[in-house]
Amino acid sequence: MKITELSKVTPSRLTLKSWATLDDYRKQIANCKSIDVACDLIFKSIELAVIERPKWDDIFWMDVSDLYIRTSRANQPIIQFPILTSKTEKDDFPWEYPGRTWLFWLNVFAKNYGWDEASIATLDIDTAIGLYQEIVVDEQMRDEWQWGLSEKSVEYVPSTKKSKFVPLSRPEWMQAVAKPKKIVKTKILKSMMPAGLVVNLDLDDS
Amino acid sequence: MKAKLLNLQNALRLASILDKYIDEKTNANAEALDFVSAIVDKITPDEFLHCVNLISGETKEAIKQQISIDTLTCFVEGLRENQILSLVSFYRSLGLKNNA
Repeated sequence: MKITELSKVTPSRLTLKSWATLDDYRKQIANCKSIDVACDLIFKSIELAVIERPKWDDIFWMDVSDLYIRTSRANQPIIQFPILTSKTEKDDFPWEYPGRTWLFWLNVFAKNYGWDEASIATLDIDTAIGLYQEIVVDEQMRDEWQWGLSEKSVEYVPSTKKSKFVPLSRPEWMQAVAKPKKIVKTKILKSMMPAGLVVNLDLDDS
Repeated sequence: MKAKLLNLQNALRLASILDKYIDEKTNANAEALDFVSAIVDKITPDEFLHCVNLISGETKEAIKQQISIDTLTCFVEGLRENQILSLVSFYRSLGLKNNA
């Protein structure tokens, strides 16, 4: 087994098209039924981000796994986008297939901004995700406006004999986070205080 | 019979066999003998033979002809040199656990 210099190799940060391929490989690895195929996908993932093409069969597994993990880390979004914090698990859609990730991104930006393939392919990952979030927010706002104009947005409440507006539900990551209630200090009249000697049992305040 | 450092394919094959015998809570700093004895207690003869075959690179027939203590030593050495806990952890992180 070769002692390699792979630990000194720094994986590069990929642009959108290569990153989409890397993400696609990651999904394929998770669904892989064969170890040989999974290994091949791991090697391909690393080769996207490093120039070296070593003879993988001769390399200690730890060197490969270390480089694979560093490749994944180097290609994670730097900004913590709210859209990435959604906890709902996505099921596999019937229209899913290997290699779809890049075409998904291409479709998103070509449809919304009219950019050509070359411009989209060279986008930075954070820019792409940030723009995607803006597109989703715009779509949600437009849908909410249209929802507000439809009859379905108003619900009749028989107990109050009035109509109530039913807002369009938002994705989890777009919902406002409830802040803890502020406790208001209330002054109490001296006459309402307990009579006699008051002993403060809270030693910290004494 | 000597234990070898494994390449990715063989390492993942080894992890796929031993995955079910290594508790997820096993600490990376655990004494080697603690979990190795637990593996040896539960592993089937076929799986053991396959593991030694991967670790040593010897054929199954050649392994069968070895003295059992040598085979066991090679197995334990192989697990130690190939950092079995890290290997299984990496194997699990790939999501291959129930597929391969």
